[in-house]
Amino acid sequence: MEIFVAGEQDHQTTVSVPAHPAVISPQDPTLVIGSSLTAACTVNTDSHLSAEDLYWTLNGRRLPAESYKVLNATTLSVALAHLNGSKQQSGDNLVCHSRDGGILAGSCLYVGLPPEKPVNITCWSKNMKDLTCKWAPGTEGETYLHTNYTLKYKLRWYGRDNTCQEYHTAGPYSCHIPKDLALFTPYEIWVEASNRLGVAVSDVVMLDVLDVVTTDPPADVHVSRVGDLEDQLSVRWTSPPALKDFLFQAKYQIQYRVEDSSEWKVVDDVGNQTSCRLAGLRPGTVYFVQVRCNPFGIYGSKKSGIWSDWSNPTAASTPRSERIPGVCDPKSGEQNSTLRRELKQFFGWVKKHAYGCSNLSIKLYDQWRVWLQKSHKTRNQVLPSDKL
Amino acid sequence: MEVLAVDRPPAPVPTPRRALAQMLRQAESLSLLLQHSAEQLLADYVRHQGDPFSTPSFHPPAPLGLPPPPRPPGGDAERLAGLAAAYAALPGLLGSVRAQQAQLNPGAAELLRGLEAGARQARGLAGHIEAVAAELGVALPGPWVPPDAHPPANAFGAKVWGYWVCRLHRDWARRAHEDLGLLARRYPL
Repeated sequence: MEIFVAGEQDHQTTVSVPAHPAVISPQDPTLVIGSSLTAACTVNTDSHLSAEDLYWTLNGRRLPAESYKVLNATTLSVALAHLNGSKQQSGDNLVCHSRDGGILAGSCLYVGLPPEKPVNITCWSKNMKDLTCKWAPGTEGETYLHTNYTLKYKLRWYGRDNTCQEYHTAGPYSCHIPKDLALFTPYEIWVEASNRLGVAVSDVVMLDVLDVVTTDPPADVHVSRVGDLEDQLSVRWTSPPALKDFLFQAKYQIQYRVEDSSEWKVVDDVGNQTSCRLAGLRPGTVYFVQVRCNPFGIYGSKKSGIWSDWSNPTAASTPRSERIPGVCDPKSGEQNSTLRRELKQFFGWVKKHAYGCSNLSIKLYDQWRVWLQKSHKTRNQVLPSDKL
Repeated sequence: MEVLAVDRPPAPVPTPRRALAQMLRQAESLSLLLQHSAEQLLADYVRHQGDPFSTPSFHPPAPLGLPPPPRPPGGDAERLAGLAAAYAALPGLLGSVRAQQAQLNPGAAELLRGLEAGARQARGLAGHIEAVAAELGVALPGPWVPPDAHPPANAFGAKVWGYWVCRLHRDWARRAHEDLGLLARRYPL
């Protein structure tokens, strides 16, 4: 048999060599971490090599001669003890060399652990159209071997096992079932983990698709000022269109933050309205606002649904009243009356619901306004000596 | 006042030489892209196989059933014939390596994508080379026929086989860039 020798400059050179100059046994073994292995390299008699001409490497590192044993004229063995987990998924490279370093044969060792059963299976359905599940591998450390995960599902009381096909859609341990899902009927769902050393099966999770519904974020989120009120913004949105034909009670959450902060404040008690007013804000400040939706109670499901993603942030700024230096510019009468009306409502609520705040009333606000105007007049009084 | 009619000259028709020059430019650009991605592919490949594949002195015996590496260049016809033969074989070989690596390194998504892209680019370059050869009137050899197939004996054998394919892919990409660059300079736009 002839081969072409690479790298020759002027002419093609053919050299006769054995098809396989040596063979290693065992080939591609699979072992548990901590095991021992004795491998043997037998050179082909045509190669004119003997056992004394050989040495071993594992992942490129020469193995000590003390671990070798000459079994016969053409066979050299090596003993490997307490094997560690494989350095790469494709297997550790155990190679038999001739004295000059040439590679005669190789065998890949797969050293690892059997899989543990997958845990924490959670699933959600987007608008009742599909089902996505994710899980955790259940192994605190690595298995060192490629471990395959298969998500399976079947209807609880009848039907055959089905296998999920679309993996890694929501992270490395996830699968997506795009269609043909039954409603009002529980599914049994489980995950099988397998590698060269064995198989492990998760506990079975039972769910009805209607109990794990999520939806798109609310659409058309608008944030706007409330007149000239410096501490308020109005947020409006529309309910997610995909579920508009289904009976469900949506609940919403809002979160907002100032522009230069990463801390979000959450407004939890929005209920099923599609508008909300944020109060107690800083004047003249840019705020980012997001809204999300939970479509609970679909078709009478008793379970709370799953929150959607947050809508894209919408920004708006609270107004800041312009004060011309040296001029007392009290707020317009209309603005005052709106604020005053609101404050009156607020103090009425405080009296009713907040114990220990009975002294607060609209009278206190009126007194403060009078004091404010008096103190502005005093500060802006122009003395005769100031005029030039 | 008399209005005179003017005869406009007809729009220039691209000459065959211009078409050839454009073809060569495109092929040269593709070969440059292919060269960069082939270098990266070989680096990714050896990394995933583990040592000793990534050591500089690694040189396993070349397996049977692969096309020869680039030889010292000759005339234009010889260059094109060499490129045509290599690029007739490389797409299929890269596809086979991809299939093997899907078993050996199923989690190496980037490597698998690189092998698919390499096969696709090699197919594209094969088309360019055929078109240039047709334009120059160079007769190309028939399709490369591999000798009797010797499938790799085991996982290590598969790793070595794939190594040689990726190495040939890189070596031929370098040669393609040189040869097409030379031809592009000979037939400028």
